Amino acid sequence: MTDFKDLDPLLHSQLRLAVMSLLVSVKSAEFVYIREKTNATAGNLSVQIDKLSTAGYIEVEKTFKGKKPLTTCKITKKGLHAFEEYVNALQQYIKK
Amino acid sequence: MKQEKEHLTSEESLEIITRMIKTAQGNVKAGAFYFLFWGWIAMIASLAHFYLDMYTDYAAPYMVWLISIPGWIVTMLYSYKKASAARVKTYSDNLIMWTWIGFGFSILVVIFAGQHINFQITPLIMLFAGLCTFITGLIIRFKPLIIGGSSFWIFAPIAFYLPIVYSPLIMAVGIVFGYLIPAYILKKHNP
Repeated sequence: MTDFKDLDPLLHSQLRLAVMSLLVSVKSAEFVYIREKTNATAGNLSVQIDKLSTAGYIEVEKTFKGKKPLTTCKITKKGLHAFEEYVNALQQYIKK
Repeated sequence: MKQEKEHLTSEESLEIITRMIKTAQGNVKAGAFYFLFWGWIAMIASLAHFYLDMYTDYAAPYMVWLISIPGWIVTMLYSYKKASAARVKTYSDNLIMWTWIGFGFSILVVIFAGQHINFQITPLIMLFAGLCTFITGLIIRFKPLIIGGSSFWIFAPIAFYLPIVYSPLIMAVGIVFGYLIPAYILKKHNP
């Protein structure tokens, strides 16, 4: 077990992992889109997105669409790297 | 997923990853609008071009292609409106957009180089249109569009071999097989 990589606690959580998996596949996505696809509540999603953003895993841009506030999320290089590491660690974990 | 679950098994993690990636992929199918819009413009212009050239004394039958200028304006407005309404931006949409912007630049080069290439403009445009349709079909993984795009590799050489006056007629046939039929199938699949 010496070469076993611990699973990134930031990613090893249901909603944060769902958000990251969604953002890995697209260029950018609006908050409403992510909420719809993950079935999360707005409050919970906001908290998790803040955590991912503070860690530098995603980039959050707040603008306006007409008069409505618009939050757009995008995965960063650091986030992509962390996601790849997480998947690698998961594979090793499953092999054992 | 209303309750946040912090203790996941590896199977649960994998399940989330696969499901979310699949969800995102479900959105990449582009609308058939562009192929239908340009298919009809190109077919009507080609037939008009052929008719004027073959059966009238009109000196500049190619002028019918000026109809494509408002076509470009409508396309740009439509794509701008669609992009700002989209709640998610995919890599596929981006690739398709740049493929067709590249097509636009390529045909401008062909049109302005007309006299240096014996005015074989139509078959060359067909080659570019076919290639870009083929690539678009591959990106959205839609077989009728891949086959439709490939059909221009048959129609373009036919247009090269026949006398130049028949080029617009071949173009009109190519558009039916390469653009319109796949676009109507696409529309039926993704209304």
